[in-house]
Amino acid sequence: MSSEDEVKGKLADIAARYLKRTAGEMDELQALVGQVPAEGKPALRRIEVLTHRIRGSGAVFGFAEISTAAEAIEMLAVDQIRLPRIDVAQVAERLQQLTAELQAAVHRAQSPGA
Amino acid sequence: METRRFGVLGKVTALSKAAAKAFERVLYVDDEPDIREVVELSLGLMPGLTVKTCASGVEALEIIDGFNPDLVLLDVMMPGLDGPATLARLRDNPAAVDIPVVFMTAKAFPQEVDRFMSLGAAGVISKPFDPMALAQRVREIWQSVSHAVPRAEF
Repeated sequence: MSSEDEVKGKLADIAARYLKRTAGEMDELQALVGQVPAEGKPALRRIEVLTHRIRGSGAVFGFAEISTAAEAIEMLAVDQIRLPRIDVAQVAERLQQLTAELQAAVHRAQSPGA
Repeated sequence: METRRFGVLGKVTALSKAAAKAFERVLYVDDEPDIREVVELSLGLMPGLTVKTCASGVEALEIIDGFNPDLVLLDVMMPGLDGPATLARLRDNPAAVDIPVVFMTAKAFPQEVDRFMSLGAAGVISKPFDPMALAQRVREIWQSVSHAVPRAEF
């Protein structure tokens, strides 16, 4: 086996670990979204950090659908943080929708061909 | 913080051997552990390179003098001290002022790239990157910088 093959094998292991951890983080993301109505921007910042990581790593490991779904959440959070005032109820509702899409993408990646 | 020294892997031309001999140490800074591991593996495809990784800009500032890297790869978006702030602090350190710094970012838009270069970056690598091609890209940047600004130890 060549060194490149070894690296590819290890990358596949890391990718599988990423997918498992990301699936586990969906509960954390749901909880953060649930905190938006009460906390507003601080909760949005934590959502930005979490989804930025999911997006970046997902793209590196070839999970394009997960990366795209996470990016949508991250961009929404970034845009809202920049606004002087936000409609937290409306933002939370949209975040719920996007989080459901991300969860579905993670589920599909875990069960390819299902 | 981790340090790994990689052996000679893959085909190496005489030219790249000469370049690799002088290009010996890279510090990679990223708060994301999976990506640190990927970058270590990727750069391990470059012969004879010692790669050290750490999880924050603060940690990088603490170890930079002892490790004395030939090049620093900096993630842009990190909690606490982000990439640009870490670069600014490195430039305040006489021992690190000349070390080429390359940003790695998911926000490699033209305006952002211009901003990073104006801050003194030697290059910008977009995320996502191809793990199998990262080593070559890093070496190209290092070669362009080392040829443009000769350093005594080269």
